[in-house]
Amino acid sequence: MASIEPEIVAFTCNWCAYAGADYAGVSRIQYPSNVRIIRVMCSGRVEPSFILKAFEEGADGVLVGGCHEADCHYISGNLKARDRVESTKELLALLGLGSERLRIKWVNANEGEAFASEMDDFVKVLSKLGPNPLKKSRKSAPPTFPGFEQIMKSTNAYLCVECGKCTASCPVARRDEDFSPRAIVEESLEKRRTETETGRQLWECLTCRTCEQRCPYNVRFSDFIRDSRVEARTLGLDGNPTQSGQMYSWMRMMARDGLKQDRLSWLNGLKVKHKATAKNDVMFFVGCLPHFDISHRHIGSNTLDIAKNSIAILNAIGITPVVLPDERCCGHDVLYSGDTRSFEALAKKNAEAIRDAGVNRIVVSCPEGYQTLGQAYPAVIKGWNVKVMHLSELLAARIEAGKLMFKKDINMKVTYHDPCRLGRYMGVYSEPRKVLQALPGVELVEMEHHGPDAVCCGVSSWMSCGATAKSIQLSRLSEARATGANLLVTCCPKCQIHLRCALSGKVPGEREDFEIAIEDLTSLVAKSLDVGGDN
Amino acid sequence: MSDSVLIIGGGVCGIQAALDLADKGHHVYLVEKEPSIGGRMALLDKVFPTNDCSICILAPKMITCFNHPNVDVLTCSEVVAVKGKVGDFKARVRRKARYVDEDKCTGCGSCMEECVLAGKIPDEWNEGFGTRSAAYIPFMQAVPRVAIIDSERCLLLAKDKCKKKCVDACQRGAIDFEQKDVVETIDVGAIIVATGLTIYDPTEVTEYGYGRFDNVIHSMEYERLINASGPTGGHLKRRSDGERPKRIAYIQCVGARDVRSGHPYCCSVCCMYATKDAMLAYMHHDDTKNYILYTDLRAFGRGFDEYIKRGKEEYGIEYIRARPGEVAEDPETNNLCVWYDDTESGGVKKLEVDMVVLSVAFVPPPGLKELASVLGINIDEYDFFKAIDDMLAPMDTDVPGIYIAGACTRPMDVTDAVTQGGGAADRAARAIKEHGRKSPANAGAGR
Repeated sequence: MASIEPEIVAFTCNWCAYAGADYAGVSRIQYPSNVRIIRVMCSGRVEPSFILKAFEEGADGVLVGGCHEADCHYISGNLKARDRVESTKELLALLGLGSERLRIKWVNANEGEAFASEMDDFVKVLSKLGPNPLKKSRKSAPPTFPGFEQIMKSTNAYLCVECGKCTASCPVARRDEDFSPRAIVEESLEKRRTETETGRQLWECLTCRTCEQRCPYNVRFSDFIRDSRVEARTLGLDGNPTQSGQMYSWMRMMARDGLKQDRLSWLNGLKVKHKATAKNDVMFFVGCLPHFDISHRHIGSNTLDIAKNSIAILNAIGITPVVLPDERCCGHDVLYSGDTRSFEALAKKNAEAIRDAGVNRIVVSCPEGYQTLGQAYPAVIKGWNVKVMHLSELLAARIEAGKLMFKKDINMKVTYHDPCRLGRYMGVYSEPRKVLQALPGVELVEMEHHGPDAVCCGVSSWMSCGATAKSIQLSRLSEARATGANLLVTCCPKCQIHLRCALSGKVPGEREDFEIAIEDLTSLVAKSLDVGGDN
Repeated sequence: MSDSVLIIGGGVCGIQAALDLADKGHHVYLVEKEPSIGGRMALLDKVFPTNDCSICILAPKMITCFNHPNVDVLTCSEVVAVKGKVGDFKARVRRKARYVDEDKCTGCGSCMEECVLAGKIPDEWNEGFGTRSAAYIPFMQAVPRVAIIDSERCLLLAKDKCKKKCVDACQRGAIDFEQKDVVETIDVGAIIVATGLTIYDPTEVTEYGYGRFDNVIHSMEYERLINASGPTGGHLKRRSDGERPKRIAYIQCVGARDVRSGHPYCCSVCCMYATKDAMLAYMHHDDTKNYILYTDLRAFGRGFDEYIKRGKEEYGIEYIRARPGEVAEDPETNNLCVWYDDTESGGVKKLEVDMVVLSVAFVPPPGLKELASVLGINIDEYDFFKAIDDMLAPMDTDVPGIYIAGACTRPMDVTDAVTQGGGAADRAARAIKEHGRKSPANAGAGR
């Protein structure tokens, strides 16, 4: 242990910390040479993705250096950096890398000593901690492309008659005149693939399946896009991930060996077990709910509550679910962004853990997890015969059998937003509605677009969030508002995040045309059962 | 052995077959499930590509057929069983009670007027626009022009509770509530199946809002609205407010050329009838602007291409190559917004119109499968009747002596249906000649 030489990446601000490190140098103050300094204009520029990327690439420690509080040259960049570092520490703890590997330090331009002594100490601590567990594990290889012919055949693209129904149905195409599913398929039909592979448009698609739902010839455009992204990735291209890719960093990290996650610290008081003890035991797949709770705290996401409430609900109906301490990301986003290698690695790891726990039934609260475990795993995991169901399906079945009694009156007019993965992908439309209508005092009203015609929340796979996404979200919110409901209910943590995000900033026009409270279905159910956290 | 022929289906195709055979001296039983013969064509306003009045062409044929000494028209009837082989079929026909004596009724309509349910039952002959009574005559030119009592709606028949005003109103004493369904056996040498088509229910294409938006209608509804003998006397009116639509969009291939609906085939007539519909709207009021949103313009028959050209040049119809993605409604004006991708110039556009007409697919009629199993003939992958060879024997089935014709074999227009009716008549006559022997004419056996 003592012999390791920790590698440290330090992001230092131009005005104070970088100058401080420089001062240490010109003053010939000795400090360990393990640090690689990256100068940024302000510590506020350092995004969680930068830090996570450094760890993903094998750094043993990351230091963010900025000006002392109230000294920031951009007023409050350092305070933002402080908050981000704090939440990123929580992520590192969840991932099992340890929060001690990340530090923030205020260093003035004349505080060379302070910089040097911080480095001394950091190296000592890191030496004790040992190397970054990901250092030795291999990164996922670039994906292999299934081949153009294969894509065209498996997605029925050859059957396209270029009628344009897809484009006329697409929420993105209505707002972005450069985007057209018809034109993209046409390019491929005319053997102009390079334009598809290298175009920005490839990454704009929401893979929401609205076009597929309506295509008269069953052209599977979402799969077409997914597989074309694999092709683009083999050329070294990528889209524009949101939050500059921090989510992708942690997903890729989870796909690797050596990680000892600490992802269940929030379970206090909830009844769970780690292995199936009876044949019919149900596993609850948590997914990335604890992670999103941290990464999207700034817009008031409380996705961890979805996990807590789900387990509380399961407990309340007499189920002690299996929850795996070493569960990984389901792989949905890496799959839909074309990183099939990482997806396969995640699927393999999850499948092994699930098999080891003796589970053959899984309940998922997140529609993406549901779709991935239910539809995508069977394609890559041999002998995958686990029964996967959405929590709403379980609850609706209980309600139908008269086995679920609600206690508290909710007393609300609600409208329901169908998530793409739950609706168009998995065909689950009626169950969440059945659950809602069973809640005492809930009046369900429908938006103009609902069921198979529901409009996507505007962002998929943390890709291409911009003006188009915002416009889609706002029009969805105004549709919800127009129903007269006082609550918008959804089943998907990401729909919730995206719609809340649209409301977190400025909105065009009158705020009251868009403003509506947004909750997950589990939160209402937990409230009515009088269990779970108060949210 | 019999040289009579059973024709199932009394639309234009069945009528043509019946007339051809009857003129040749064969006795014909024309079995029609509805109370009147005439089929779809009797309900249309005009026919393409000549814009002739549909019923004006058909009505003389309907009457001639009905009055032909060699034709027995059995309305309200269905074939329930068939035994035997070519030259010697025994068909069981269920004749449903009409509750009106066909020989006594003069079609005066007094029973309709006096019925206590007058104006309370949506009129299916007018696609739900307008109402009828429980005792009614399906449409003005019905043949036979005889009333029928709807046993499901009639208070007396359904609930045994009515003042029987119709009985009092009928001066001929034609109403007979004691009538019962009867099953008769008829001997025939050959059978022609011409059961026609039904139209696709566009409700399941949720993106076009049929059933949700008042002013989205389908093409058969349009036919009744624009028809002078229809519920509005030929005035095109919006369901929402009764106003005349000045901008109309016709969406083609609804449920057709669509693998999801199970009807991937082209219906071959919609490009033409939509053009006709648009011309009619323009003829009624020349300030009407018509848009036809099509996937491919299929105007392949004689005079068809010229018809489309006239549509563009003389009637100002705008043809847009696009299959719209969605129809939205303005809740205040009930106007409709059609979202489409202009595939010629590119780009998503929206078109505001007062009315949307969905050109719906032709689909096999209900009961076709059951009839196929009664007859022992095959159906194709889309559930139409299957010929043994589409190209060289398009009217022949696997069973010798049983022939198929018209839109129950595939979607087709009037011209083709009439051609096939004549063709099937010839096939049937030939089969009888080859396999049967002359039997004494027993006209009236079915009555």
